[in-house]
Amino acid sequence: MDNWPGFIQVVLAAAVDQGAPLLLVALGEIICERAGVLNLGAEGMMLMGAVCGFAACTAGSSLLAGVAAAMLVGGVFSLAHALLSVTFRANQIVSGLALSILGLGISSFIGERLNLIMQPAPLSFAALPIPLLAQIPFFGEALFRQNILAYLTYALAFAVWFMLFRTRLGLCIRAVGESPSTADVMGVSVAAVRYLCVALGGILAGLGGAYLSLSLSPGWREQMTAGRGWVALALVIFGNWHPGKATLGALLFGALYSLDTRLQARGTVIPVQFLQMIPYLGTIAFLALAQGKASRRAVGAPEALGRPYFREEKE
Amino acid sequence: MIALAIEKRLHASRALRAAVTLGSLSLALFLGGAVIAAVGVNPCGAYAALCRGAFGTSYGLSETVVKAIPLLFCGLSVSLALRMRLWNIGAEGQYVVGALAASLVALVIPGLGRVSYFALMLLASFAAGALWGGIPGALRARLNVSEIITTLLMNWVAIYLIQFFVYGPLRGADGFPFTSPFPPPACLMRVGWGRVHAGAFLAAGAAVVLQLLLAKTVWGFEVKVIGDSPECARYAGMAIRKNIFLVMTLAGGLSGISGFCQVAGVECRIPREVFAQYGYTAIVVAWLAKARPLGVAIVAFLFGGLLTGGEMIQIELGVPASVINILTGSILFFLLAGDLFLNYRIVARRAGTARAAEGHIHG
Repeated sequence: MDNWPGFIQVVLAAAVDQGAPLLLVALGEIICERAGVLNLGAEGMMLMGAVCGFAACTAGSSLLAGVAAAMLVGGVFSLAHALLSVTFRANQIVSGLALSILGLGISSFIGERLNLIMQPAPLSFAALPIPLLAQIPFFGEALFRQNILAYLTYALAFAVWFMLFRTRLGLCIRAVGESPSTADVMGVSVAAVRYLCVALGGILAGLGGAYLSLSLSPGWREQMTAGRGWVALALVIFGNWHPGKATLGALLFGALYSLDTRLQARGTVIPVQFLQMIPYLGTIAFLALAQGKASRRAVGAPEALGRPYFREEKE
Repeated sequence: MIALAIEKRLHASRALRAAVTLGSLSLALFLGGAVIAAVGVNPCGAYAALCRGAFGTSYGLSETVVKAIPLLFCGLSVSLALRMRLWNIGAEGQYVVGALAASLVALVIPGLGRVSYFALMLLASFAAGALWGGIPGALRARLNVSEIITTLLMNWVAIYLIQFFVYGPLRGADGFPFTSPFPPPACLMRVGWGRVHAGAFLAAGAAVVLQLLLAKTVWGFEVKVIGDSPECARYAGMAIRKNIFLVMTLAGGLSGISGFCQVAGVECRIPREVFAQYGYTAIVVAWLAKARPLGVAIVAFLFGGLLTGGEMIQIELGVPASVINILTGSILFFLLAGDLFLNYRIVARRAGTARAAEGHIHG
């Protein structure tokens, strides 16, 4: 138990890496929920992205092909949820759960059919130190020796913030999520905006899945997301539907995962299964803390979240 | 120009309901059939084998009942929460800790009689499940933390917990990751038909009791009012927070008992198939049964058949296990889509007359 600074540095570096896939899924979900659609299918979309990303990367011997396939599949798969929740006005909770169940079934099916579980990863994203910045003592080593997907993820958080709060499109999205009838009267197509946002959410969740199978733990296993999609949903609430706060939350939640793996690697007397519980128990604790605070101030949940929009209906 | 629009429907006839349900099921079976065909098996043959395997023989029927028992318990658990518009996605974890607690009683306390084992194991499994459901319940009641997310995350905690015991302190003498057999008095009695055990009566009894509680008591009425209209419940002075906690605790306990029935009734030790995802399937069961306890019993039986038949076609025809997951997911998906036709009517009307039509409905 010597060398604590070194240990903290390693945990921090791993937190950035572990937090990235969570953040990708959470950013997608923030866009989606800001438009008023709750998508509990994050886990299923991630699983689809993970398996298709890995399969495409193997087939095409290209990381880019893997990433593109994961995003495409995630986006297309999420349209099933859009169809049910927007066009068919179905219960969004059940529809999202159906997506999670389907995603688990289909991803296992694809993985088994292609025998992916036997295959070693042909390629994976390697660390890409940023010149100069990586030389900063302590933090440089932790923050600037990540892979390119991680850098892109954190840059994307800024892009999503900019899109939501500084562009006309973002204004439309938020209007649709807060008061669809008003947006409708203003000439915004509620259905089109919601379809778009659900698809964006699916694309990002698919990418988050590919992050797992192409970078974080290259390879494919059944149920390899192990609840990360749900942790990302918790992250959205923890981050109060805001990309900036979600980024901080992603580092925090990522640290929970890295604590688990780093303590395992280090070897402690604590049984490994109890270390594996850390991310789940930690997420519940953080969620309770955040909600405890939130109940005293305004909660950032979009007003129309989870409610299908029906034009003729009087509010 | 004619445009399609939808209007709220107040009442759907029985015939429409039947037609929509049949249509949705057919589409789900069609999609599942496409997946089965993709692995090179004739879908019609596979479905026939599935039905034969699940309902066609005495053995198959008994296995269907065995699988329906945990589905019924967990389905009741999800339904109870659903009555209050709470989502218990954690039936799986509650089931697992219930199984673990019952096993601990059986393996740690030696030399008890049949009745003592039964009572203690039942109590332990209920308490463990209640704890697993009660924590998210308390967080929801006190801090308004989404029970959907917390119950799901608790599943993973439960799975790692039972793995710790099965790979560690409770590891059986033969070295495989399941426990040693329980002492014989700790096993649930078999009814003499396949592997069907006394848990079947417990589950059926639980369904009847829950039905009576929800339909005939003041408490059952309170649960419904709090779920349907919290404002109304608050105005009437109902204890909302207390009931949220109580319902989640009871729901957890119900799932916990299913874990006890499974380990004590089926193999009389913790087997590998304890992770059979009954808790997740139960969500589908509860939703399809519209959270009515007696309906849950029927749907649980049908899904028990789906799981049994699924195993049969896996063994006989080599259809992957994941196909049953896909089938379950698509059944839920298409039935959900079908709701549109029950809740709304689709009308073709000339553009520009929407206002007039609306005025007519509301006027």
